[in-house]
Amino acid sequence: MLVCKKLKWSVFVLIGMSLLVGGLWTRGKSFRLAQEGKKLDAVSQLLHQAAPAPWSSDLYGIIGDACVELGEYERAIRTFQKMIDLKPQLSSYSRVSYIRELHGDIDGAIQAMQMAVASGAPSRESTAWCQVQLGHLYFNEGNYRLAEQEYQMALKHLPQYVHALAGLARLRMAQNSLEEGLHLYTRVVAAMPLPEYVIALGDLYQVLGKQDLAKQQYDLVRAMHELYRANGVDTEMEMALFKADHELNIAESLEEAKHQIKKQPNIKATDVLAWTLYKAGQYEQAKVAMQQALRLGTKDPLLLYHAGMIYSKAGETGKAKDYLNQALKQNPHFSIRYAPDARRTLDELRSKTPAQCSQLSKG
Amino acid sequence: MQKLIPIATLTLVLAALLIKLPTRTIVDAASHREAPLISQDPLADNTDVYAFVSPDRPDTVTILANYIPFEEPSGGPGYFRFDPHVLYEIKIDNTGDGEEDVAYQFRFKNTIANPDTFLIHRGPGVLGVDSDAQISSLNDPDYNLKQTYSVVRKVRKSGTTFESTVLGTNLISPPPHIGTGATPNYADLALAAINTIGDGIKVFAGQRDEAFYIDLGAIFDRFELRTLGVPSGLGAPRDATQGYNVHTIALQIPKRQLTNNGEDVNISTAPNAVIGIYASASRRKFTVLRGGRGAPETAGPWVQVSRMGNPLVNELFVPLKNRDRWNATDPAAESQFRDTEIVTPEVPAGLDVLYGTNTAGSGILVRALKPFPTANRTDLELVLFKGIPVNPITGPNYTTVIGSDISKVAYADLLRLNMGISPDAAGSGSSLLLNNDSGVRRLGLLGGDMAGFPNGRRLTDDAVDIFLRAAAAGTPFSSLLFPDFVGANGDPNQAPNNALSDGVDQNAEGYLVVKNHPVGGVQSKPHEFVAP
Repeated sequence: MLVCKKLKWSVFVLIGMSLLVGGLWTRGKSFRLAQEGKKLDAVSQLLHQAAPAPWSSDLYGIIGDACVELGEYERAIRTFQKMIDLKPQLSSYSRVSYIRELHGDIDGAIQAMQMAVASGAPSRESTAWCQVQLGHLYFNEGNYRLAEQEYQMALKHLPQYVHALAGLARLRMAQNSLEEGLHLYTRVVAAMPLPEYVIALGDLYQVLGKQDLAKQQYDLVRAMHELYRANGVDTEMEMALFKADHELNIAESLEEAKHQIKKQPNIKATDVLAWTLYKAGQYEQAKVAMQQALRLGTKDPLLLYHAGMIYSKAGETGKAKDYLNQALKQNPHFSIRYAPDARRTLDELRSKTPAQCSQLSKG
Repeated sequence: MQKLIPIATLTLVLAALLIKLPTRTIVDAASHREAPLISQDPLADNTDVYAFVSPDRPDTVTILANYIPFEEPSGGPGYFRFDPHVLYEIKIDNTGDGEEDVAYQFRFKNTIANPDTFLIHRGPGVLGVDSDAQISSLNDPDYNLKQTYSVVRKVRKSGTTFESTVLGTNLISPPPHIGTGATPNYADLALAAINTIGDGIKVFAGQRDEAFYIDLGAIFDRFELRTLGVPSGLGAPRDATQGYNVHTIALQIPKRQLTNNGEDVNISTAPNAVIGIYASASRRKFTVLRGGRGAPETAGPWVQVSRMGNPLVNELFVPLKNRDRWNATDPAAESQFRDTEIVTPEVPAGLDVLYGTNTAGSGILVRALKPFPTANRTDLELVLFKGIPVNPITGPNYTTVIGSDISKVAYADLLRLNMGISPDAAGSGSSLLLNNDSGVRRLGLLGGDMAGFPNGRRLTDDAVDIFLRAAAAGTPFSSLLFPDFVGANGDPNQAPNNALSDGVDQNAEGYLVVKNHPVGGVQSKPHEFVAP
């Protein structure tokens, strides 16, 4: 009665924690709503009930995280403001950074994450985690030197830190040091086979022409997807995008994406939907979804690349070129798989006349 | 033949599912990007505040504010230091309204001479030629990651108006005690970091030995007191903080710079004799979304994230639900916590369950004769949050009431120090000698030591034992001031109450001998990585 199994487990854990510590046990209206399938209303209600109760900065953090996952960004902003007002420190600084990043304020995100790193105790995983996130922020705006610096600092304080190694691996790929990238990714995947690390290793094998090894990683991703599903864990965003790019059963992927967005209408799930619609050939709908995904002004090269490709197929060449150009200007090697595709498409669009462009989109 | 997916990898994935690994991804558009949620902030964490009339200069008081708990001596290559983003403050109330009248603000800065090395003790130049990677003095070019600080004093003029004076800038904090290789002659190095600023003020800020001593593991494992045999089979009591370091801000200030009338203290009952002290740490907050692009965001208002006056109040009186709020609140607004703090404090009730008269458990060597007083501990409230007025038990010369009119003082957690009571006051014995002297008084007022806690707090005062006994049996004046008070046998120093102890009576490293150092009474030099 108390457990709504269809909620994504992680969100449930988050909500459950905030309820437990807020001292609330839910019954009645909230769960009837849930059982009627209006899960978002149910969760919003739970959040609303829990809101007056939080007595610690950490609790605001939990609630704010849940809000972000659910796409309730306005509420997340208010919640994280309460969190930092009560206790400015690493955990609140880093969350402020993420909100700024989502809203396209990269400089502000960097400043806040620098504060988070500076306020962390030496040799703690939390500090190293923030250093890695700061590294990612630098990477995403094409500042490879500072990205390297942060990843290396994280490793100095926490040797073998897998996320720092993964950051370096991606950096090496961007710098075309593929062998070193391969070495690093192999270590990373052996230590912690998260979907996006396995996918990255597979992509790297693909680029190196080692098809069998690439297939091995991709099969592993598929197996992980099945394992997750069988255990009630929803598809990770990276796996959803992977499926859209690799799978033949696009209809199934589309179903999954639509299902996912009902539960968590955040911009990441919206991006997945947009990309899956694009792969399914539904360009107009993809456009609408992509606009939704970019509603906060996020400056993420991957999202910008998706937008560029979608607008290209939807026949809006000018916008397509803008988005692709922006993605590549921001980080020329944002992805070993997609950056070349972005470049290729941009070149094609630039070399075509307007008439040819509209011809292209109809094909 | 199709290669099988490595079983090892699949097993790892299964294991990950079972333990629900949080997936923090490197792709920005991640579904799990929750930042760490650890509310520990050690660099801004008050651990202890000490205050006493300086035995070496009795016209001054020594105040120590310690931060950063459980510093591991071998914590390279990063090591611990004060945080440049934190505002560290020592505040003094000399009017009794709970608000600070004098405050000392410390801001730290890090400079790096040689960014091309990861060593904090290697200057620019060639190793072995220009640099020996040893810090032999505070100005040694090999003192690479150097921390300096400034001291600003604020004095309240009226209302919310303060007068600010910069007492010192670019004062050097000594390096951490890395070891005899990188920081030989550490004692001299630290000694050189004692500065004189302002009008006769001595100041030091840097790493020291952790002087607080407590059988931490046993105490917080449901008040196990090994000396009482509870539970049986535990080893001997041990000081859990032994071998760790801490960071200390130390000030030695002429008394007349702290009194409410700017004059010296003539007698202990004078209205200017008692001051209330607390230390704090603050960090800046800022708005989640920035207003204008390009606006630097690090200059938001300060938010207090930690404070400390009396020992053990935060740990033992403030419930979890109030922690963050309590730390963010000024002592002047203390009374909002009164109901949960003092009216029914938890510790006496816990002690009563374990060692009180109704205990049926076996193996306890000593059991109280009367129930512990568990509710309405206005006697503890008086000591910690108000101040002890002159009374027949403690005599005509003893008080810790700021301004000497108890009806006017604010309810506030402040460490109260009577600057008119000599460190050698009758009954106090010698102060701050090296350890191993069994004559060292450590029980403060409960041990007849007028110059010890709750009149200020000395390094030697056994805050844990004092609190255990006061919680169980009250204070010497409890019954007099509160006729309804029923202590467990009434006297903390009578059997069996005097058996209450965590069994750890002193700090292993002792303290710096008073006479040899201008700042009398600081913790010993911090530990290096070699086992002591």
